[in-house]
Amino acid sequence: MDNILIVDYEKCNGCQYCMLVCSMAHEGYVQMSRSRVKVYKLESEALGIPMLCEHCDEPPCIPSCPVDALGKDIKSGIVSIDLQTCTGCKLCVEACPYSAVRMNPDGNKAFICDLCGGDPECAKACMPKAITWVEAKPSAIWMKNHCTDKRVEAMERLLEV
Amino acid sequence: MYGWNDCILYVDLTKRRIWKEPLSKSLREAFIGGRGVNVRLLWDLTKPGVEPLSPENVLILGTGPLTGTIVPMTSRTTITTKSPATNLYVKSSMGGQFAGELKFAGYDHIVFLGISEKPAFLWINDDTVELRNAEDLWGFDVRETDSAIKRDLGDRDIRVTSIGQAGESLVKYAAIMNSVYNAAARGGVGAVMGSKNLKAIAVRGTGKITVRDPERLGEAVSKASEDLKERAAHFEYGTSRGIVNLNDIYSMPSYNFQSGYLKDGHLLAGPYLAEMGYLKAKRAQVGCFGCPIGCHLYNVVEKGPYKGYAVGPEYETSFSLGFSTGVADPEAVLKANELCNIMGLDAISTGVTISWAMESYEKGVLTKDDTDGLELRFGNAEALVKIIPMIARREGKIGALLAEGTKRAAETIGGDSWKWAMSNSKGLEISGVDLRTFKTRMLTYSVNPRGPDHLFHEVFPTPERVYEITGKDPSQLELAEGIPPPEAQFEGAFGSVIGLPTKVEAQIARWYEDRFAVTDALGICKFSGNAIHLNAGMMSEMFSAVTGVETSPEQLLFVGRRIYTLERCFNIREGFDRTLDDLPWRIMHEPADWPGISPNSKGKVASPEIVHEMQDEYYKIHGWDLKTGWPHRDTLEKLGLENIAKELETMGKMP
Repeated sequence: MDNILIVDYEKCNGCQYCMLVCSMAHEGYVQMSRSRVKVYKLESEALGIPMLCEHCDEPPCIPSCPVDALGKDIKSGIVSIDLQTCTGCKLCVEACPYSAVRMNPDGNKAFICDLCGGDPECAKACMPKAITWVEAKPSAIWMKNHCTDKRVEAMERLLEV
Repeated sequence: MYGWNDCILYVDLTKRRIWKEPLSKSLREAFIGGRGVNVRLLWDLTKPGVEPLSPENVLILGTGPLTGTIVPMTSRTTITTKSPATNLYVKSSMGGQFAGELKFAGYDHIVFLGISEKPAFLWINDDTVELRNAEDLWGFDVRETDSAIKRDLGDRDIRVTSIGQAGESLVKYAAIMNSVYNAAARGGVGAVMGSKNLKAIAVRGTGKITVRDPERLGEAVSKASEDLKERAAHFEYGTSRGIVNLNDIYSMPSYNFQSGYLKDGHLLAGPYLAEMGYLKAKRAQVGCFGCPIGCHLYNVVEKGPYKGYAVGPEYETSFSLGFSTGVADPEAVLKANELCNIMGLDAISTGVTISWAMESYEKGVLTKDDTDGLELRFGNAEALVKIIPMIARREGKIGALLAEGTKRAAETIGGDSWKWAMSNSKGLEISGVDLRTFKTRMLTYSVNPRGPDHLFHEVFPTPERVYEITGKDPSQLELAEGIPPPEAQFEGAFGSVIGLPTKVEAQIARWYEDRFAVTDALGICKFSGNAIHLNAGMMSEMFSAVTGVETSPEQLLFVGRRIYTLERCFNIREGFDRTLDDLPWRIMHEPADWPGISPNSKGKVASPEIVHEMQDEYYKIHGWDLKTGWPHRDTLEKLGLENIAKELETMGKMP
């Protein structure tokens, strides 16, 4: 992968603009539940935590799928779902540690971030630069992992409240 | 339908009846949405002379057609009703997350009629809308209400709009709050909600918003986003930075407008709050729905008597709760800010009313017997923090007195205290600009239909703007005194006198008010600045792309003028005449003079002569009668308000 998505929630202002543009880019209209990124909010701490597919090196969702609908492209590193095969059993939703695989609003298929095929709209739209699309240098990879860990921690806190 | 949902939700609280009506084509095209459609509904749904806190008053919430699209900064909900503070028209606008959620649930506006027998809240779950019992929520503050509703309904993505204790107690300047810290604060809209026994509106919307021409909209949004990026950089620390520069030049209204300087007042601004460790985000970091700018400061006081957190202070909050009360202790001001937010009070009116009481106490008009033993002097931080919950609950003599606002409180207490009551004849407390040293705003604050504040025309007459508005090079306008450069205006020098020819002042006021009305009707935040809200070309492009109703900038601004004029007509129907287009007595009669004041400002006053001269020009270009301040028949007819003209005529309100 040439570029990676770094999501630093400490820069997120919680506005959910990324969700608007994500839905628009994929569907041609805006519906929050069709956004591949979801910003969780916790007002008491002024938190906004964007959660979306991390395109993990060893994605736990892939082995969880009983019908092999999920796969990872070796060259691009993008995890994707074959919608023809997906039965909507939700096992991948449960397997994802990042609350990043969700069901589409029709409730019949799983859906995840596809990195817009390599030019993510959310990164272009995020002015506070909480979501950035950067060259996959070792330092950036370290930063991505660090930011992901921070988000997982913050999500745990959010879900407790 | 594109942009709009074509749906007004009606809730009759008396009969517990809920129904939907389409947002008719004529209403959409004549008034767009938000503030525009709201005022037309208010005109139609209330009878002349309606009591603001009676079941016959209506409470209207409105969103705009751009909200829920990829147009950034479209989080605004406008709330419209007849104000219990002024007995006139009021609209108050809030950001937060509510407007988007309501749009996704499938509604453009909500109209509340009647009064619920018992405390209730409205639960909108997409198509399913029901009134639920809220007796257990009554008495809760805004945070508790938000949290309880989310818990009980089992969904953290629900967005809640509610009142706090102040709205329940019918405080004349109670706010309606949403998403915990976003306020529709002015004019007592929260008291109207409280009078209806309506504690909250909870909404969850999962539907979609479609637009007519996605590609065209995408292009417009890209263009606006470029400008917004610059604007975002400018908005570091939100609105709070202005206080530093204004205080430095002794023009920051302090001690109930008796001074322009508060020692250590700069400590209430973002950079200093950050330095002292209160500001938890590195800069202004809390954004409303779809807003990349994020102007809210999030501050935490970790220990001590003022422990808590506040989203704020904004410029106005620092002015009212800090400068005006003479309190420069950041922890106390943060606590006062927090209390206003969670109990649901307008921070401007709260601070200005407390400042009136402090001056009254120092001058002996109020005694300890009136203040329930509080030493209510300027600078007493402890008293400031103590008195806010008393106001919100109308506790004690002083709480009950101040809950009525400055105008009524001064009438009750008597003496000369009306002279330092900082509201005009309309009865709304003034926002934080010393008009004696800012000429264009003398005009706009006086004619604003809801009272003396800055949200119907925020005027920055930069040379570029003056050129744009008048078509003339500013240097040709025989300026009495030079216009400061744009940077200086934002950085605080706008406190000094700007003397443009009277005719130009009137033109500037009208230029802004047209755009402000359109902005509020579309649902856009005014902090989008030149990127969207002051850019009629951009607004009409976005509106056309979203709705498919092809509209030129001129046509859009024409709608703006129609909205603004109808607001004035509503006031006329409720008894308004020109005598109410004034400013607080102190601003009109006490020349600015305090230690440190700049020679430019010293001795300046917004005398009735100056104000009337500007108003005459302004009324003339509007086509309003100079004696009464009422629009002439042909003015209304040109704006397509023939029916309004007819009704006013039968009431004998046609000049």
